Amino acid sequence: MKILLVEDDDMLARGLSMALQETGYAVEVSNDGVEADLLLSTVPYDLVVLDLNLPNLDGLEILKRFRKAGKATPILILSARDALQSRVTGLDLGANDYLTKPFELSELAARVRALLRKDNWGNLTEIVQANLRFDTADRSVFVNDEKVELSLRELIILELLLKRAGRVVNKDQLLDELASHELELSSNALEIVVHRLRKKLENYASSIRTLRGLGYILDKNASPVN
Amino acid sequence: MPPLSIKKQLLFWLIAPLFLLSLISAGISYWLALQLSNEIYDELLVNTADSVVARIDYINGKQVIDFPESAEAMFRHLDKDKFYYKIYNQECKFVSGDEFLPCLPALVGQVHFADIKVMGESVRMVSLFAPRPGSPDRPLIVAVAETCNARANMAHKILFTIIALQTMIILGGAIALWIGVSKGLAPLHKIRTALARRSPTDLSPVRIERAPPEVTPMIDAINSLLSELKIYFASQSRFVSDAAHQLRTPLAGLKTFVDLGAQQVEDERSRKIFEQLNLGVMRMTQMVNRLLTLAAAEAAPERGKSEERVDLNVLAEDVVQSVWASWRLKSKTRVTCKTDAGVALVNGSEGSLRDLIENLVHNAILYTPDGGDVLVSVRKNSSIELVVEDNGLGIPAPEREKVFDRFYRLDTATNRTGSGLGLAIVKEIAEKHAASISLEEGATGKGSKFTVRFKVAELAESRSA
Repeated sequence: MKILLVEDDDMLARGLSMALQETGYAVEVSNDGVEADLLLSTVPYDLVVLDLNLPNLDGLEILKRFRKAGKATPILILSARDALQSRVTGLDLGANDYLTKPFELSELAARVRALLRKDNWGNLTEIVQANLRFDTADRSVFVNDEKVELSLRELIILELLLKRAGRVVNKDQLLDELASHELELSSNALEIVVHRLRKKLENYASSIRTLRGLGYILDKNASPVN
Repeated sequence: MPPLSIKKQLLFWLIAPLFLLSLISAGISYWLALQLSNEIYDELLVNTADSVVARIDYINGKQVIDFPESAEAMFRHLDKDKFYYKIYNQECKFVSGDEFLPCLPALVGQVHFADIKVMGESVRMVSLFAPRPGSPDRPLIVAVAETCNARANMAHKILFTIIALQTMIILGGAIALWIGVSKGLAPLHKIRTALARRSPTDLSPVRIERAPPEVTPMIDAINSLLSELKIYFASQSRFVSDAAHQLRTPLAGLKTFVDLGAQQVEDERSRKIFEQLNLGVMRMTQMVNRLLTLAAAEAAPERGKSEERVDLNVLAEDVVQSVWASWRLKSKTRVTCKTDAGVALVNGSEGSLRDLIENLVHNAILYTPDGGDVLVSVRKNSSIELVVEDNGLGIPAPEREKVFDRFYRLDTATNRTGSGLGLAIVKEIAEKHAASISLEEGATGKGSKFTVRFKVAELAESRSA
């Protein structure tokens, strides 16, 4: 999951990116309106946390341009403006959520999770594939109700496969996703990580299949094994 | 000595010269009238003299004075005055009449007047030649005289008439001036009442219908001052609002790190430190929010005549419930609400009135120790009274005015967590709603009792059942 944090206050930006990174998201920070606009038009993100009072280009204008360009990425506005009118305007311009400063970190984290859950998992708190259960809130993985400890790399790979369950995910997509978390890998190393992941999920009724030359696939709705 | 009012000055400078002028005019009129009446009386006296002259005849060069007793008696019995006459020649040789009269000289073709005294009385006398047909070269002289009673009488009549007339003129003039000056000064009076009637927060321009051109510049000056004040106040409250907004971002940064830190700590001591840090950030946040509420209340338009109507009964119940819900775990102070049946409609904004009641109730809870009581009640009589009463610490009488000042906190409250802005917000909102606030001791002699008096909302049309 890659988040763009647009916030011009250094301290808040540092604190938030630390907090979001600790939760396991890849965070990029922009402290300038024009720069953020440029980033949003070129780099794909999973979520945008957007301040409104920004140097050079107002947050609402960025939002307007972003939605006009046909992009559906969830946007959470984080603003010191708490008037009803600015909240309504922000949401009507296409923001998915509006949080006023100052805020509880836990609330922001929960809202970020909720937005990502809606976008990635259709609001489901749990994804179940056969006897594998994935908790979208804290990103924990269970097989037969037993928790499986995964590394961040393994988790990112599994999430992407789960998200596109039943469809082929090619190696480049996986490598890009890892790279966005600054977890660059070579193609060979990826195979090793996938191998380890399979091992950790050995009790999983279905499997992560390798399609030679294409990539990997996680079979959808494989019947659970008793 | 305090300066005289414009009205008094105008009246003084108008009535004093009017009085003086009318005195002068009365004097001149009296003098002229006296001259005129004297002339008439003198004419009459000359006629009388002529009548006496007509009695002198010359028969064969010998003078005969045919002045019968009856004719003489007719002259002598004038209504009020005594009559004298004397006929004498040019050497002052007495011929006939009253010998004691002095001899006045006479000139041809002229009459000669003199004022003399006869037996202590003022007497007007006239002498003239009496040329008759057949008279010798040097004719006799006839002098007649009468006392001045009729003249004095006439003079008195004229004087009284003039005095009466002038008094009427002065009185009438004074009344007309009084009315005129009052009318002329009416626009000033209107401005005064217009300014006195408005609430201290109302900085809208003064409008006087059909103001005279002399007053217009003053109204313009007042209005330009008002609009400058308005801009100043607006910029001041915008500054407060901007500053509070600007504080929110660093506060959010601080809060983020405090939360992050709190997530990391394991040991009890650090946990307590982070708890205190968090409390500090929360208090600052609350302060910033209150500042914003205050700035918003200041910048808000007048609500006293707002179209929106709010039922204080419903609102008070609602606020008490929500405040109670958030405080019942933190404080053992009971909060209850008592309202009359029916509606208690006031004109105003629901949002700000909610802020007002909330702040009063928070304040009461803050200054009431656990186990105390806070009672919110709404009473409707000629006005609508919102009363928030507690049996807590109370506010000493000398401090009661000051508690509505910003950041003012009682000494007893040093360890309390108020922002010092709650009651300033209450005052600001009340003023915007043309409501008055009073603060007394609680009914039991303990605690405080805040009363906010609103005007009853005018019902444009009663809602049909």
